[in-house]
Amino acid sequence: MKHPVELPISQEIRNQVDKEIARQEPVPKDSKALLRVSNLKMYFPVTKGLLKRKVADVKAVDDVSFFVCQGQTLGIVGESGSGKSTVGNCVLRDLTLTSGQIIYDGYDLSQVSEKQMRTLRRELTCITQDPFASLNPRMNIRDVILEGPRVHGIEGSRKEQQDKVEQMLTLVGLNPQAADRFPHEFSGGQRQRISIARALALNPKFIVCDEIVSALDVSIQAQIVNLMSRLQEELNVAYIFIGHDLSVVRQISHNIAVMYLGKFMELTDSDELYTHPLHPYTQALISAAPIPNPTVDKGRQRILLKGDIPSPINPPKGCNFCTRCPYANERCREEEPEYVNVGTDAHPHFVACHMVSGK
Amino acid sequence: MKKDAKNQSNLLVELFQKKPLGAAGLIIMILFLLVAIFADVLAPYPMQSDMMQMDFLNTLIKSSPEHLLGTDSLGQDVLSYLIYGCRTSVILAIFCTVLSTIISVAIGLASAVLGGWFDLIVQRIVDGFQCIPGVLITMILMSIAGKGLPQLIIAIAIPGGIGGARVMRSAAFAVKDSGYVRMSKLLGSKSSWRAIKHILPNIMPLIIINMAGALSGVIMVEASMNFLGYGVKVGTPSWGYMITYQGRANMYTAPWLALYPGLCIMLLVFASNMFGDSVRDLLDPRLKGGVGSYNGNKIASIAKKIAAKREKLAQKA
Amino acid sequence: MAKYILKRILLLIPTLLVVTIVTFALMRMMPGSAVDMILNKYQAMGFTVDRATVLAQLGMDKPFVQQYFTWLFDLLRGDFGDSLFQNQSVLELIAAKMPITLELSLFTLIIINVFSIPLGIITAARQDSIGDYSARLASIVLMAVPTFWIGTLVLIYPAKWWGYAPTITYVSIFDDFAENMKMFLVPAVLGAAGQIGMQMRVVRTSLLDVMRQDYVRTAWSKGIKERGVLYGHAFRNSLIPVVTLVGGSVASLVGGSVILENLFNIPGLGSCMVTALNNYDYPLVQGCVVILAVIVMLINLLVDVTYKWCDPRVTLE
Repeated sequence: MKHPVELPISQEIRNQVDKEIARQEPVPKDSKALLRVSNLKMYFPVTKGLLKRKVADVKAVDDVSFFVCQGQTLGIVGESGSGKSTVGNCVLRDLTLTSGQIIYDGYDLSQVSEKQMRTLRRELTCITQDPFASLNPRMNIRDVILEGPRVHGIEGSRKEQQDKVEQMLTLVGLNPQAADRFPHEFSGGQRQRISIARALALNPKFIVCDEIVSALDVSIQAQIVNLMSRLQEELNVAYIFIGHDLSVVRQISHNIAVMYLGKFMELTDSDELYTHPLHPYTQALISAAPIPNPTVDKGRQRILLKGDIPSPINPPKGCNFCTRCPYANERCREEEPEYVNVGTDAHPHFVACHMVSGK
Repeated sequence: MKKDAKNQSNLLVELFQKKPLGAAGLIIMILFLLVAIFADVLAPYPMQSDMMQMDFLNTLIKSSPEHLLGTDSLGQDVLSYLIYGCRTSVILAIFCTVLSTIISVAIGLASAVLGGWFDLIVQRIVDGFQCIPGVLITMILMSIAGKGLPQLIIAIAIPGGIGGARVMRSAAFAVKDSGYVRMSKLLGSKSSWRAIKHILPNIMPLIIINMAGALSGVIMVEASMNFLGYGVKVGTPSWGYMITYQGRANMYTAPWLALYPGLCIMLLVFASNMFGDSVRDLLDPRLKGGVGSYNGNKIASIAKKIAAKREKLAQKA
Repeated sequence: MAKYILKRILLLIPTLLVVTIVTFALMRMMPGSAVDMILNKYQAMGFTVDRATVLAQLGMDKPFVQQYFTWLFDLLRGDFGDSLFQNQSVLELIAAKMPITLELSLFTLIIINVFSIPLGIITAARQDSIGDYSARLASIVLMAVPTFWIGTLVLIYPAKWWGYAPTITYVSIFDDFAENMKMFLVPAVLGAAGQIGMQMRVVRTSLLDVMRQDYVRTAWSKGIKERGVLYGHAFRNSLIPVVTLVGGSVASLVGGSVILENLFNIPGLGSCMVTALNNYDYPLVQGCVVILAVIVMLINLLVDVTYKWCDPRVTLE
């Protein structure tokens, strides 16, 4: 299949960044991992009083590790408040992390300078949730799409710009004639396509998709997810796909991480997760999703979770999930379960549950 | 929502279609502008080498074929004086408005974009300035700089500009927190790019509203400053100067000397107020009457009808 | 709430510091100085005084920064220094003049609110009626009238036609209420006129804005009478912009008092300052500005507290 867009200009970027910093020690083994996150912690301090005395931490993300390979998708699912968007924001360096390491293609993102980071943003980009807020109402679609190239001074001649805009709009399934129109003339789904086109205009290698379909109608959701899958095949982009709907995230993800209260509960490839969910929370999530077959749907047993997600300021002692877990016992309330690989090295299956690791 | 995104070039068309009073204001302002530009042609007694002509034999006459609006105590033709005074006011209004807007926007944008300590310190300074009445600052600045039109422009624009900075800052902050500015940052843009490409265009309506509103204020302050003795140089024709030094000095013998220039100020301020109001109505959709316009009369009458119907139904039952 | 107020008061400190720096710097930037004025005074009487002696006596031989801190620390101890040309301490002078200015401002403020709020409510409740249009037109006209001009006319025409002149000798309100009112009524009404127009419009717009909210529609649909909807649901919520405007108008009232006091010969802080400024009476001008700034700040604080009462969602930014 022929690529409608020229291949990523990565080598050029690479050279440019290399000029600015001495390359850090590349991550040993797993050289195909484009992004490697280890022991990521993001705490937001809670302050009180006039002197902004720190009284507690909101542990939005608490010790999370994962990696994403080129051209693959890691899905992150979780309830609102589980910290899944925070993970995305940390990867984008929109937040300064409390501790941990994020290595993107050999560069430690918490160490590179502001200038180097700007250069890296040519290939590490994102698409956000709200298709209405993320487009400047006073910019026409052409300017929206060309913003990335212009910011980096690679927009080229007028002709090249025109070609680029038409290419991008075609790629995301919009009429290339729409370039001179303004965001308010488009529907939510179309706006999300424009956001995607904007992200792709820089030929990125990695895109953080932060709940990009949550604000859309179900039918449109499917279109956008299909579009994202197709783009991944054509352009070999890697995604972190954040969402709260497991059935949507599953469609596009190679691996899925289930997040609860700032921690990963389970992480494995998406088929494995669906066929052999090990963590009670994952099981509950899967059982909650409707099955489009009434007889099957009727016959199965549902695991209903009671109560709400606890406050991340004051997470429960022991397992984070113990307050709502149907199987919780004394040990779960006392001792925090380890996050271990219960699968093989070739097919890893990480899970944090006493029941499973069974020690 | 739609209004927000509309191109501003439609503003004039809309003004004439929907806001006849505002359009009238604009026309009056343009007339004043023309008078200011063509003062030398229009004035029956044009200035000669930067001096008004003085008819030493005909001082303080009321109205005559030679002097349609009479003369003042120096024998200057009042009509010519008013025409040249218009030039002073127009120059001042334009430069002052532009200068003060530049000051407010620069401070507001810088505060919002740079944030942090810069913002904190600048905001304290802005607060400090705002606690001192603007008239006082202008007066003090004028006594530092001395009389004269350029000095007056600067002395009025500085407190005005600093005063407006707060509004600009909060508007800029609101835009800065929006999704598209964050996206632009994540695309790798510099803060200067975001300020110019994103924040500035989105606070443009507010800037225009502020400019239109500032116009009238500036004209008033100029007149008041002349009254307080901190105005233009002696010999520069100015409405405020005429009211104070000709009008008040000759208030019993020639009261019209205070009347005419005041009417001129009033007309110009009135025009710019109406213009400014209409511009704000057009640009600020929140204040518009259109959608969901509340009409007490209508609702009350509908409510009455419903009540009457209910009663009828109740009687039937 | 107490914490909120405490925070606000703490924020006042840097603002006040800025005020003192700005005033001090501006005063010392003036060309010519008090020293020249004093030397001239003695020279006119035939004495020759050594410049250095005068400088040393005024403490002006020291560097600016040191002078500033000396003044600032004196201020903190409540010592505002002595006036250079009136044989009184600055504090005494301010204590004598301040009540007059405050009375004028307060009186003006009362007149503004007594007229503007009811007018605003009526025009909002009867939007687009003839009354609404005429009130709005009147308000724009009122806003266009320069205070000192209409003041001048009030001095001229009644005197010319009926031989009436406003009282120009100040009598304390405690000595003779009627006589005092006679003096203050005209300036207060004139000072209020423009503000009435502006505030009426703010009340109207803000009330209309609230009237379009969903909870007001709910109130209508529950069958509440118009009066109940207006006063029970809409009015308090529409107060916020009005409170802001009232707070803001205090600063401009104090500024405006400079003009009114000069026009009507009222011996308040405003006219005192103009004289002091012309005489380079540094300590007096600085003292006045600082005191006025403190008053404006306290009123702003009051406004913000009221704000919080009107809208419990408001927090310190």
